[in-house]
Amino acid sequence: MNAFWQGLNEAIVMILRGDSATYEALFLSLQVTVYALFVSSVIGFPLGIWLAFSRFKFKRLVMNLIFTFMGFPPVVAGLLVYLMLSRSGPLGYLQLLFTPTAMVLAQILLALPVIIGLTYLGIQAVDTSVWELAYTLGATRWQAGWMLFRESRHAILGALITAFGAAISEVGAAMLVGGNIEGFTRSLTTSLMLETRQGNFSRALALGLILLLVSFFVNAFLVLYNQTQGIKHHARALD
Amino acid sequence: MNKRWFAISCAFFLVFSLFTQSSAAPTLRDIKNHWAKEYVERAIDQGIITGYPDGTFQPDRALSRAEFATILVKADKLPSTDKPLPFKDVNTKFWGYEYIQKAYAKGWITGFPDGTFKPDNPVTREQAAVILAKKMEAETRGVAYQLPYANVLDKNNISEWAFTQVAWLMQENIIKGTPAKTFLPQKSLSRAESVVMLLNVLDYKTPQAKSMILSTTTSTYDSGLLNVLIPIYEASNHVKVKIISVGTGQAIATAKSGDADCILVHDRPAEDLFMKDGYGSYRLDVMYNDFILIGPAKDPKGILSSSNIIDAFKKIAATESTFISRGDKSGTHSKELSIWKAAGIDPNGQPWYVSAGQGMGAVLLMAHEKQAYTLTDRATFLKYAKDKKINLVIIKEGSKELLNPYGIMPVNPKKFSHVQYDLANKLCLFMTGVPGQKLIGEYGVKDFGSPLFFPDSLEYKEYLKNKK
Repeated sequence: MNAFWQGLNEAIVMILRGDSATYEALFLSLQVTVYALFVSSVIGFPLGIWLAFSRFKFKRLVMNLIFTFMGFPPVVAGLLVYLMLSRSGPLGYLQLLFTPTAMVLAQILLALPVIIGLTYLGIQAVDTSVWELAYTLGATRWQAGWMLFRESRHAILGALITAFGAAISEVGAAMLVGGNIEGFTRSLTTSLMLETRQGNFSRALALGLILLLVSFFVNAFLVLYNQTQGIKHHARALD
Repeated sequence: MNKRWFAISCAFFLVFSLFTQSSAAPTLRDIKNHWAKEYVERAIDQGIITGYPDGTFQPDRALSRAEFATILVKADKLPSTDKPLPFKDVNTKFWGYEYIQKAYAKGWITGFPDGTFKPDNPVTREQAAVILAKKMEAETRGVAYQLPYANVLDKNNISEWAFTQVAWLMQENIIKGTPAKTFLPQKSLSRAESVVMLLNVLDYKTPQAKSMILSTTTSTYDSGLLNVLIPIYEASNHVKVKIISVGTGQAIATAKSGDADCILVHDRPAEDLFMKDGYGSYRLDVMYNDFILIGPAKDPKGILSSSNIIDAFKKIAATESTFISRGDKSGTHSKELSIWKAAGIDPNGQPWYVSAGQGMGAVLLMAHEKQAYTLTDRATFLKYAKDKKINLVIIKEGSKELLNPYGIMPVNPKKFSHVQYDLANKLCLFMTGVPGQKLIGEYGVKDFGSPLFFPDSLEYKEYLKNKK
């Protein structure tokens, strides 16, 4: 347990002192995850909504696949991206291996199924009569769809929070496709792995605490945003 | 109308010509056909050097050490300083005192070990090189000197204290050898030569940094050696080296797929295979450290009493003492397996044999927790033991089977045209060259009391032989 208190102490010191290696790793982790989430959201939310409404032959199979990929082992995702981006691989000419872009691609692979799956489930949970009502009141398909999206925003938020947590904390893929290169692809999690491997337990714990702290603040922001939206919505309903 | 315009334009041209008249004195008579004519004229224009009152420049006359310091100081227009000079033979009345003082304050000149500066001695070409390198604040130790010195027949005449500086300045095209492929390090620098050198220094622009990928093993990286060596190489060659440190198997696979430009590992059979299959351009010995058998201080089953490492392994098997294996096809793992083989034992599947499948650090920590035996490289062990992370001791060391040699190979550009062969080649030459080898031999002495690695390149061994 001594390592734990030492870790806590070191975390505070590292934050206050502005330890450049830590901040570099922190910004890299945030950057990569934010980019990955953005792309995953742009693709995933519409897809999740569409799937919730559509009916086609192999839908159950498709949904099963998506749910399976939600639990994709990060190392496997990393390995797939590695083999694609390697110089000997099909996309080798892009020279993306061992770059932050590769890390983003790997995280998209992990976050996308989560967003699609949880959006789908979230929309399913909402009473579709809302959508039908809007439709009958003259809304276009897209407007009704948007209404439904707003109704299911709790589920959407859940998808975002879950995907964020999964992406920012994963290390297997980031190590493989990023290479943990000092000052370039060394994120918080890969730094953590390195420190653990070298037996610097307290420093590793410190990095872990900082990671949790960052997650805490990001989620606080998301939750706050959700609550204010909720207040606005209810206020409007009272008019 | 026309007359007025004519008058105005005349006046304009007159005034114009007054301002643009060259400020240089009429061309000195003895440089009209000299090879350094343009350089000399430029230097005079910039106020760095002047001709003699009799209208000559005397371009091939030797420059004194004081004069050399002077032109350097004049080129940079340094501010005054009141730092006193420690030289016995330069007093405040000397004509060049202020210039020498400024150069000394900047750290460009240091004088001789006997406390003199010898201001009126001619400055030699190699002395000038060292001073210029200091002025440029250049890191020269990382230079792959073998390349510029390939065309320098008298490189062995260059003093050791000027060896890397001359090579670096040649690499950056600031100084050149003679047409006869010599450098003539102890020859006096001529006035013309000094002007050319200095102007090259002033014109010098740091080239844009290129980047390369070095694939190496976790134990090599975790020893911290590369954190000392690589920045020196980077600074001397304007390169950013991206280091990937993974298990030996992965390091080799990375190079084989063309995702690295150079590879530094310690698994001779795998390296030989790498070369045989054409993935490496060439292979050079770099250094070695040794493996050691470590275990609990109490050593309950008395493994310590074994006569050599093979005996020790036999005893571990016989007493069924817990042994942690890397189990990850690393260099360490290969070495361990070869010893089991020599002992005629197959440990796989035995209850006392733990195959961890992790890096050296993780395995050391595991051995510490279980108070078990394991084979480790000395470097990683010293590092962990020093920080008191593990409570284990050396049980067996020194057998010849325990040597752990490292090899470096640039990835073959014929197999992968995109690899940075030029940079990888320079890295290999630096690590196996004499200054790099000396750095390797020094690493760890300060922190651990003994070096972690022993330099072992062919070139270094030749150098030591010739020294005797």
